[in-house]
Amino acid sequence: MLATILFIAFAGIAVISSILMITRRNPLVSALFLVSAFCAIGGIYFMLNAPLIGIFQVIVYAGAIMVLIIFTIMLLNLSRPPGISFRLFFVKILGTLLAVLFLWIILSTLLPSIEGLTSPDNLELMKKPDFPHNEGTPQTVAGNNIKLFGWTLLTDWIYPFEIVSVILLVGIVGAVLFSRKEIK
Amino acid sequence: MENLYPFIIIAPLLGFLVNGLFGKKFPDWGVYATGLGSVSISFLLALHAFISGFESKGITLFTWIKAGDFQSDFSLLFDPLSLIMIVMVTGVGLLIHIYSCGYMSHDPGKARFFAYMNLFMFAMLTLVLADNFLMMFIGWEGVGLCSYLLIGFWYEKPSAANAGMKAFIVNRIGDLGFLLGMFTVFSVFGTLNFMELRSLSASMPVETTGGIITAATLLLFIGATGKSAQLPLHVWLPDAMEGPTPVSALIHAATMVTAGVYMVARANFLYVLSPKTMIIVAVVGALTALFAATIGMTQFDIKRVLAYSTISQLGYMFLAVGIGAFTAGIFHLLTHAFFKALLFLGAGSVMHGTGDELDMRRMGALKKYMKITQPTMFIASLAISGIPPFAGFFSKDAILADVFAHSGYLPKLLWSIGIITAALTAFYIFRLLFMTFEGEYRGLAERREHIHESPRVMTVPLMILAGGAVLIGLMGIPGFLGGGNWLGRYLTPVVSSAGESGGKEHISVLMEWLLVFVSVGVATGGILLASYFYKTGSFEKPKQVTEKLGWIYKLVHNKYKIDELYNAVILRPVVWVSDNLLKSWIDEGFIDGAMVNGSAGFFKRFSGAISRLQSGYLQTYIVVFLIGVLILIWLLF
Amino acid sequence: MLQLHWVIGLSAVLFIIGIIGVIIRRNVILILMSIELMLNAANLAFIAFARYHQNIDGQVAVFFVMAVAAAEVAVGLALVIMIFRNRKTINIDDIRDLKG
Repeated sequence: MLATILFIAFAGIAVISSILMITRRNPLVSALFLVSAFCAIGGIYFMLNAPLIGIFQVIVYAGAIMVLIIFTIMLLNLSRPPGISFRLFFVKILGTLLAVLFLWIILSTLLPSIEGLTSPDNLELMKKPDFPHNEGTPQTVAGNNIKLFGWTLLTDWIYPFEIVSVILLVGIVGAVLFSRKEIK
Repeated sequence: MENLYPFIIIAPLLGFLVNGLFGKKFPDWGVYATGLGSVSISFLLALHAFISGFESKGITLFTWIKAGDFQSDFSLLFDPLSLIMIVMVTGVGLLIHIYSCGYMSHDPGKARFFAYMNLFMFAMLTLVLADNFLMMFIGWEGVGLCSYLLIGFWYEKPSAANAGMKAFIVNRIGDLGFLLGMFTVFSVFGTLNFMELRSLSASMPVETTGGIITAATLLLFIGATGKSAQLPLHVWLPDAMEGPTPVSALIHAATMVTAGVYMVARANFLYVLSPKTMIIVAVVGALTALFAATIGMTQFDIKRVLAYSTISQLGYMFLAVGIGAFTAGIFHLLTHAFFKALLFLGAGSVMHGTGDELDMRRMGALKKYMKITQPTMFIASLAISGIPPFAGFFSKDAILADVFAHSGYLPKLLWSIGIITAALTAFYIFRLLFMTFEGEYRGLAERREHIHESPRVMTVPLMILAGGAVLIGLMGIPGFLGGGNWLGRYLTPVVSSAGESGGKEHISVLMEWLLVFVSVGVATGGILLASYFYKTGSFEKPKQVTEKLGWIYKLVHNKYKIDELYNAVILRPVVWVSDNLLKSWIDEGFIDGAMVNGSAGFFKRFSGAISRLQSGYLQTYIVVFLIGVLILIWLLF
Repeated sequence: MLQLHWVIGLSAVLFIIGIIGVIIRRNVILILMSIELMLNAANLAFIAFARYHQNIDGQVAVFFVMAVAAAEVAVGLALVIMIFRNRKTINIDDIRDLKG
């Protein structure tokens, strides 16, 4: 019962924030609404037995990425441009309608084909039998999420891990390179 | 030795390639050596084959076409007919090549000349040695091509280039007949191989009324008409005199133009199945002989007279094979090769000595200066007139006797045409002889000092040919004169199935002697008439006659205006259609407009339309992605 | 109980909202933000399925998505700044040099 109410709340915040985000004129206002949407999604992560990811969501997305975006908006210091342009009006209407159509297709046809989820909150060890666990402590996901996550990341997914670190390096270098002022 | 025989045709081909590709860089003697060497190899091999009596049904060089049931090989047939032909072709060819070394010595294009001459030898030998119609056709086309190349050798001269084209085109018309004839033969017999055709046709009935074989042989004869310059496709040969004189001697006297006769003789087993075609062949031959002889009497260009003479003599050959006397026709072909080549080379010598003068009205009294050319040409003239014991007498008499021997009105009529033509032949050739060598010199004064006899490299072949013109006749001395008719017996295996096509009577020895006297008599009469008119060197008496004849003379002198007729009736409409219809509608309108420009324009418009999709607006692209995803979902679910 | 359907439905709705945002906004930064929203919707689906199949790999995938998204935003914003320096506009309709 509590779970349902909580979910509806978080979901509602997320959806409403997003809709407001795409319709505001002021980019800063849109950014702030996006932050709130991110936080709501993070809450849902907590409810889905992914606390580590939820923390990451708040720290990385809401905390770092949105800060970057807000910095950029303020840096560019734009005068208030009109929000929704009317150039390509026909294309935009068509696009919107098609997107809604897409949503309807997903919700009506794809969704019912998935079986429902009715497992208890205390899940088993999420199918990692060789996971080294301490003696005597209940081996549930809830208690071991970070440990399990870290273990999987650094054993099964070690290659992507290393590659992502290179990607981040490239991102940093690229960003610095791009925004350098020309040396005359 | 047998393995070397293919070199009879390969050696000239190699000569062509060497001289053609590298000849320009060779010194003169290199060009001569290549050109003469290749033909000498052919001649020696041919002679060896002939002397050793080599017979072979087919030395297969390679398989050319193999498609389903049909197979065509490139293989050589050595039998008496082809053996004697290749000896003549290579022998006379070699002499002419030697002569050309002198005649073309000043020409900068001599490498090209010898290359083409060698190519011609290759094609002609292929034609003669072919063992099936298809390979013969390759040679047939090849000699036509070389004829074009050599007639138009001095291509910067418009008249020469035009003459070359005219020869090729008229030949082509004949070739169409040849092709259709080949197809018909194939459709009836299923093979084009001569040996196979011979055995297959032996069991077929003679077609007294028209039939498929009549059609086939008639079509093949049309091809022969084009190649051998008979009515109505004779028009190219006089113009072909634009080429160098050795070309005229080799191609238009001794070899290429005889290909038609050779073909009919080779296919004798087909022709005897169709008496109707044979009658047509004989009649065309006789009429052409008379027709050409009349024109030859009126021409002043020395080479033209000889050209018409060739047409006339070829008419004799066709008369012979048409009446069934294949051996006599081949005999005349061989003797004609010698004396006509001699006449042409002699004319070339005259031209060389007088500074390339062609018009006989400006010659005269050359006897004093040309001590070798004049006697040799005199011998040739006697031979062509049919005076015994020179070669032409035996061959011409054999033909006329055989014609006369057939029963019915038509053979007798043809015989009389032949006799009249013999008289005219003697007349025009001695007219040529007297106008050129006797009387007073009528040419330009400053040329008189430079008149000289030709160098030895040119006169020695003349002498050899003159010897041949005397002696060749010995091969076919008929029975009633005491000889053994060696040629007739030699060729019997080839033409045995021909026999005599219906109606040949046996004529008595007395009759034969009588015929001999008649033909020699008319020939002598012709010579005397010519001497009466022309020996003195003044043209008084001939002028009186031509004035009295008025329009008749004009018509004959203008070759009966046949060229003008063809021009008006055939050429002008064809050119008009090409220009106005084909050029504007099809070439410019359809091909240029619709196909080339149209397809290019279509693609341009198409790509223009598509490139407008690339609008540059990001959001358009996103929408297109979305559409794509939706389509994908639609297709998958 | 938390139904999977609801979460996936939420993910779909957020995704579509993101698409609509990309289509209708002119400001480049707004477009980037809408793309981030789409990425989040995908992450949500990952987590939901990770719980459904009781497999931690879904969460690990989300980790990677986040890392890459961060790098992408950094570079993208650097590009936006460069474009602004060049053309004094971040209206995406004005940046269409690559048209056909």
